[in-house]
Amino acid sequence: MATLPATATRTGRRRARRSEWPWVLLFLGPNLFLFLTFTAFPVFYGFFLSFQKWNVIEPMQFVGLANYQRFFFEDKLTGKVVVTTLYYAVAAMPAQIALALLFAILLNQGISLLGLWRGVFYLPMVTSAVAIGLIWKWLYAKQFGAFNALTGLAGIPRQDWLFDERLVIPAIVLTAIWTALPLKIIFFLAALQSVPPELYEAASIDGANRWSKFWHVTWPLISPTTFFLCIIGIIGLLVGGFDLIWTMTKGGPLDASTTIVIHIFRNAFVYYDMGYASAMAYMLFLVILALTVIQWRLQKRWVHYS
Amino acid sequence: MGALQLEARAPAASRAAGRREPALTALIYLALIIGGMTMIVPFLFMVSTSLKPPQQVLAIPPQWIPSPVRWQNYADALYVLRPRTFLNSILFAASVVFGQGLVATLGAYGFTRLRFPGRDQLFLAYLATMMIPSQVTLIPVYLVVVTLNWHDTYAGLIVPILASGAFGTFLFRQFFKQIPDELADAAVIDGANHLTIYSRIVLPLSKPALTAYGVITLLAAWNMFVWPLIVIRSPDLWVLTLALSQLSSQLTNDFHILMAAVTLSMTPLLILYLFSQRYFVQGVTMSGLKG
Repeated sequence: MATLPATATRTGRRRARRSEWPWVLLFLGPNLFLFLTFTAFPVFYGFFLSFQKWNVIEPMQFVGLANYQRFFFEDKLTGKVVVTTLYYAVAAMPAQIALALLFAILLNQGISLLGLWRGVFYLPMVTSAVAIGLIWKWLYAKQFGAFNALTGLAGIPRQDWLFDERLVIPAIVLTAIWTALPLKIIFFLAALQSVPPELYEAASIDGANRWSKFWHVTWPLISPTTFFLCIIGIIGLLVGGFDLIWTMTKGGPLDASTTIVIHIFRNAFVYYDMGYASAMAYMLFLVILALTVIQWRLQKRWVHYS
Repeated sequence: MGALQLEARAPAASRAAGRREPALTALIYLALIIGGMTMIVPFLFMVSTSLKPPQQVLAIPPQWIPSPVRWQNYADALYVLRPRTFLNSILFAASVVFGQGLVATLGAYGFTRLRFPGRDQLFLAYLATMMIPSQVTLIPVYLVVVTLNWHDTYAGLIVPILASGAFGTFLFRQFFKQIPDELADAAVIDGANHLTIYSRIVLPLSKPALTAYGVITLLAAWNMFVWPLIVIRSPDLWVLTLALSQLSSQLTNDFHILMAAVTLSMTPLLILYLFSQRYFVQGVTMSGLKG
């Protein structure tokens, strides 16, 4: 190998193409091996598995579309899981975006001690979802939790937030919003700070008030960020949330917080029903793919670029 | 740099908005205080609980100031978590940060500075898989690990995560492309080979990207839960997230110890964050999708 760089030097980069193969192997070998084994192959293997019945121990059995059929027609949980997932995502997303934008605007008002404020607002970002889940589980505890003490001040009787079928999703949604705020504030803050100050000055000269400045200058200019955050927010809520929900409720009570990722996980790693779990994972993938394509398409039409 | 520039600009923006009425300023700070409290109070309650004696944990209404302060909770928490769990988390995070960094930067160099047939098509394949959320390939990746007989081993825990570097490969390729070719060409004339160019020119010039990527990868690795949950069975191989999750069901009546354990688990990253907030923010901004 030591002779190769000498060749490369003599003949120039373009003509040395053939002699570059050992370098290609050295630089891309590990990367390519990992990519093929743990990314590319699994994508196809997962698709293949979705047509099999397999519990890892007994031999695999080809069942055609039975797994897909089971999801749509036989699995009694399907309806509940889909509704719960959508409820969770749709309830959390707008609030995440609105609150993140609000706090980003507030942090962008030339306030003093900005570093300190940011430190506080970004804190959940460095914390694992497991830690956050455990902290909030403790906050939500019926007898001794701080949350009931707080709502008690407003005259609301004690609730068993995480063990009540009606309250569990709102409770988790609140935690999920809290968890997701830092990332979204960071993006909004970057977008707000990239609005040229001249535009505000020009708007002032035209006699615009604060509200119309926001509506006619800021909002159009940050719309690419808003749109991007909406899409990654909804994708994050659809496929993410596992760590948090698993830590807080494991999908309970009575499957009231079983979202699609919890359902997939349980089928795969609790019941070892790999074929069925793979089929659901693939359908989830298609939904996300569709969302991503929609993002690309709509971005062109909907979003203003300066 | 970017942050400095932006902070300098913020007052300009508010100046442009005209002098602010004191009432509005007060409102802004009030809203920030409410928001800030909401963000920080859960952590304060965690720390407060972690220092309480057992009987005070179950006080109604909850009390804020532990009395007396019981440091013993932390010793108990360390005992149930086991120091080994910390070492596992450090080993895992370090392997992922350096392993992924090495694999990603080597690959990115290959994609930018080496020529071989099919290079661009291969890169497109990388790009295509980046859209696929890891949750979708979780099952087949686990089955690959089982086939390799790697389940419940460090290799099974670490190696598949190194493959998540496709995103890093993409990121560093963008970065390396901005490095002028002349620099490397000059080095070639001086007799440098690709490995020298990689380690002496490309990597040192990429320090900002390396730091930001390192921080964000560390964050992801330290806090990763679902993969260890699937691959690891033996308590000897537990990482912190997994240990916390497993112990929480045993410590249902010992919230003071559980909260001390949670506090311990997040302290290393918290300290790092306090000293290098800027890199965390850069890393997050750089890798938006990974968030």
